[in-house]
Amino acid sequence: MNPTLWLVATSIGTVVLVALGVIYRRAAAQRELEIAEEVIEDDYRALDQRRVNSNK
Amino acid sequence: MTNLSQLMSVTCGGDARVETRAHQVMLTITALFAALLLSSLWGLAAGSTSATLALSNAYKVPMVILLSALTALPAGLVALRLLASPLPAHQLVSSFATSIFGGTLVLATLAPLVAIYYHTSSKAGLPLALGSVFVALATASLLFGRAVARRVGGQPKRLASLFAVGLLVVLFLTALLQFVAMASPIIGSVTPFDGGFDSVFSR
Repeated sequence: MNPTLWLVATSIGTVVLVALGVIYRRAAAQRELEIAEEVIEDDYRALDQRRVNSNK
Repeated sequence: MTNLSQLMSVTCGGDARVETRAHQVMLTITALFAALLLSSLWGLAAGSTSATLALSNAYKVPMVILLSALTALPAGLVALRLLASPLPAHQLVSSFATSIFGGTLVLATLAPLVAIYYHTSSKAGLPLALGSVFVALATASLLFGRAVARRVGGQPKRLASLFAVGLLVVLFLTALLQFVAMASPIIGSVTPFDGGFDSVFSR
């Protein structure tokens, strides 16, 4: 049909794919942080529990 | 790998633990990229009559699916807001992406059959290739409806969410028809879909 239109459409598609790749990387970094925070919180909670137990 | 197994659970309607927004974004994008990869496999099979067609299909088919989804999505989101649906926009997008993944999974599983029949049968090759697309579209639509129905189950105004799903599916199909025409030839032989809306509804 119209090769120019197809070229424009695929360019837009490619840009969207690149943008999605960037968003994915950001979300993955955010997720890593969340997991690290959860691990630290769990560690603190376990430490607190040990202190409470030793005071008893 | 964890993402892919979670994606399969979400697509099959299981209860995968999606804890945060970042996690959901990751799953949605993984679903979309996996869907594009799977559709690329079908493209290779459908165009296997010639190496040039097969290679061009490897990017044309995923691009057709991506562009159709991008065309339909804004209208679905606007409908969701205007109808004051209880379904958050990000959940609609996520369900849409996982249903596209489900549909392309069907396409990819049927791809070897399409390739074999295309080379060995002049009668069944083309109907099978087109049939696999219709089966995939039906599967994706059902998965989309099921995913949204599950998320809004028991909430007021859930019909509004299902209307947005219907609208999104109709617009996706309408856009798909024209993008297929724009990207044709995808299959080695001439089909009514090569000419888009005008040739499908020529009478």
